[in-house]
Amino acid sequence: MIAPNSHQADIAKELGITRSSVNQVWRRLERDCGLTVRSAIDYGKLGLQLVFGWAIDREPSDSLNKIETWLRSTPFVSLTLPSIISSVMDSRVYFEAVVPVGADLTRFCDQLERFTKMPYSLTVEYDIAEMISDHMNLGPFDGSDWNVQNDFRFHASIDAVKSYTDILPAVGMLRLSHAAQASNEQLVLALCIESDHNVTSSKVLEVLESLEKQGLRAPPCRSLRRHMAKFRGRAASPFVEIEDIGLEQRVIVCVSEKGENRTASRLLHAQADTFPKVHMVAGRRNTVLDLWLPPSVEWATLTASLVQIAGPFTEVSTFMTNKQGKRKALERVVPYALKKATQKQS
Amino acid sequence: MVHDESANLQIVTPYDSMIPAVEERSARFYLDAIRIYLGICSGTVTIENATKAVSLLKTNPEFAKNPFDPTVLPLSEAVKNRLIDNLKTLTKYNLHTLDSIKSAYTFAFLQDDCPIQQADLRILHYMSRNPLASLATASRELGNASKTISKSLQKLVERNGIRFSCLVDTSAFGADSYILFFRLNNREDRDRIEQGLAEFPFTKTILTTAMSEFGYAALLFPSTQEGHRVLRDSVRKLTGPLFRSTTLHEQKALGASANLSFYDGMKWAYPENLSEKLKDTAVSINSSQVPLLRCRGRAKGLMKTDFAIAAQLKLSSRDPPSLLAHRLRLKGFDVESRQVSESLQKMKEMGLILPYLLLGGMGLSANFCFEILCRPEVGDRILAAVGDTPQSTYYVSSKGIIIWINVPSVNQVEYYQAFRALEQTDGVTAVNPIMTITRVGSRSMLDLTRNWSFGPRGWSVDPDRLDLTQYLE
Repeated sequence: MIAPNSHQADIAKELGITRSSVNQVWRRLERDCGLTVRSAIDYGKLGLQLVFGWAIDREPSDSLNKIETWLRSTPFVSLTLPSIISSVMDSRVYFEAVVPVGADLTRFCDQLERFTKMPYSLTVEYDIAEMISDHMNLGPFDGSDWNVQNDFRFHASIDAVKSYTDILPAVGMLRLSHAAQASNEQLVLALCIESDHNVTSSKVLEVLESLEKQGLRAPPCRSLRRHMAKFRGRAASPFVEIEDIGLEQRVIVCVSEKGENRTASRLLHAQADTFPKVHMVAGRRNTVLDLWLPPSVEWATLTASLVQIAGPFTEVSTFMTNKQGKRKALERVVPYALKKATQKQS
Repeated sequence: MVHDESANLQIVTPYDSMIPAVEERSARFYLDAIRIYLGICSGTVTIENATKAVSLLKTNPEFAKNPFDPTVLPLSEAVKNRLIDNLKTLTKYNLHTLDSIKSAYTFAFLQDDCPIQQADLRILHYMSRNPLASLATASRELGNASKTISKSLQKLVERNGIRFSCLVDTSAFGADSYILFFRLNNREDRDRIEQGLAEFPFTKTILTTAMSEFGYAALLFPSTQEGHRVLRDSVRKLTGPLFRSTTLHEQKALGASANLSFYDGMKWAYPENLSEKLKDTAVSINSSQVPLLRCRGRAKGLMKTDFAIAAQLKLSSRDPPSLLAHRLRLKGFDVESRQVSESLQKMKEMGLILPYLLLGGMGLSANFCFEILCRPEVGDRILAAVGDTPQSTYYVSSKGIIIWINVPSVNQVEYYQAFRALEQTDGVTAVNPIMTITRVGSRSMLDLTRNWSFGPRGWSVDPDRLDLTQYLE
């Protein structure tokens, strides 16, 4: 298992092998399985907020198609996942959007509200993210097959943890700060670090120089390195991403909590690293787990275990999607923000 | 103080030390069921003692919600090992809650997939079409020795958990079958509603899940106009305050089928033209195309013993008359093999029984129930297509059709979408689906009728007992 913070030299030292062997394997994994170390970003530090949620209709409908089309065409929507089957037997579209605070955020939320009214009449649950995390657990993977626990033990472990949720630590989560102002240079730097946590300063410099026409100024190399180190330390949390390893089933777990104590969110966070690959977003009321699972995991059985968390103030539902869509958080919003800034200047 | 059925169970197993002591009576129900199953598997409990223990177990109110009878479940080494593992997990995590103990039981019965050899598959295929065929007939038609067929069936029962069951037209005995399909107003009421329905003396099966606001209760009660009126009025009173919507389906016909055409012994193929068949308006069916038992109403010449024999036959329809008679005698019926034999013959001739094969351990882990409110001709079309699914049971009423399908999880989305899409077709008012991870059990016909009277016109009770509001308000 790769610790996302480790450089190749650290891994070689830890495993007691040469750096060139690590590099060889690393290159092969990059080539065959798209291995990257990406970053979860504290969007608040960039003047952005992550809005996430889901739209519901009783069955596949024109209204759901319309909101999906609108979401896909909106520049700051980073992910749109329609359901193919849901545990509640309804139809859903899940979305995440990284939106500039201010008029854009207000407009975006107003538009979401519009879909709850006639003629659409959809139920739209959305929230502003306060925490995000990414986990990858290659422990149950032997290189070709997954041995993922999806039996009574998993069910029982959730039941057992239920009684201790108030003392479960919330580690490994990136807390998103309140929105602060950020320069366009910072946005571009964050975009580079998001797609590659270990990106070199020369690559970032290259990107900044290519955007000079849009009024961006590349700082001196030394300053840039300092800015990058500072940003990584304060606003980026690395995670490993790897593809084509048999995680073909994608399940979204949606949790709505009306109570104060956030029991379900804590419990899901405590269980998150038992799954092979998971992205978690938690807001004030809602929590979402985006799970990638091997086909051997029975979605219905997994759902039956997860809905145990539901209670008088908590609703838990899951749905399957056949979309493999990747999050394009800053990739979508940064060009929009730069364009807007250029228009303002001119 | 423990003063209920648990204290009186005379069951000893080698695994007693693993079974936690719990106070809650409903949680003890599942632990007692586990103890009985483990006792039968390990040979420390005879089937006679197990049957007596189960009759005590049935006095636990939890039985009405989840009518598990460990004496009718196929004995399996894999299930036994899973039960032991799950008991160890309960101890390890110190889990004594009802939900975890119930899950320890139900998860153990989730079948593992077990491939079937071609020779066995051929026999199974034949038996799916001729569930009551004698070994001699099967031997003649398949060209195998009857001993080979017998061994093959035994293997399929032990390794795959297949069972032979049958549907019975209870209306011939003066007992009507209804399904109350409902949508909850508030999911928080689920436990209370489930409890109320469990206490209603005419409830055969309940299905509610934490995942859905839809649910149903299958009811069986003596057929009288007054009884029907009382039930309908009480359901009407509960619709609004307790249920967002209800549909009371009176059973007109029922059926079940197992279709192995799309199974190769390892995997199931998806019937690619299922969606087209479901929508094909040109399709019309007759009863010979689909296994269907039409409810004909009261029939003359039927006795209480016939009803008991039919009830016993449901548990295992290939049991010989001598075994059926033996099991009935354990339940207090004074019957001989010859009587059973004659009764079976009579009921077959009257068309009151529909035998079917129940598949298991063959990768059919996704279970759906669909209530389809539709015009009768659309119901016929759906019946014609539903036989393409690996395992199906269906229930026809004047308001539509309710179907249960067991399908492979790898194609669950395709099956779900094919049936769900019926909502868009002409003649269908609504499709209401429920998903479950296990098949729901059902209270036996004998347990339900214990306090009813049987006369020349069949079963009867005081119609006022059918007032559901007494249990749910």
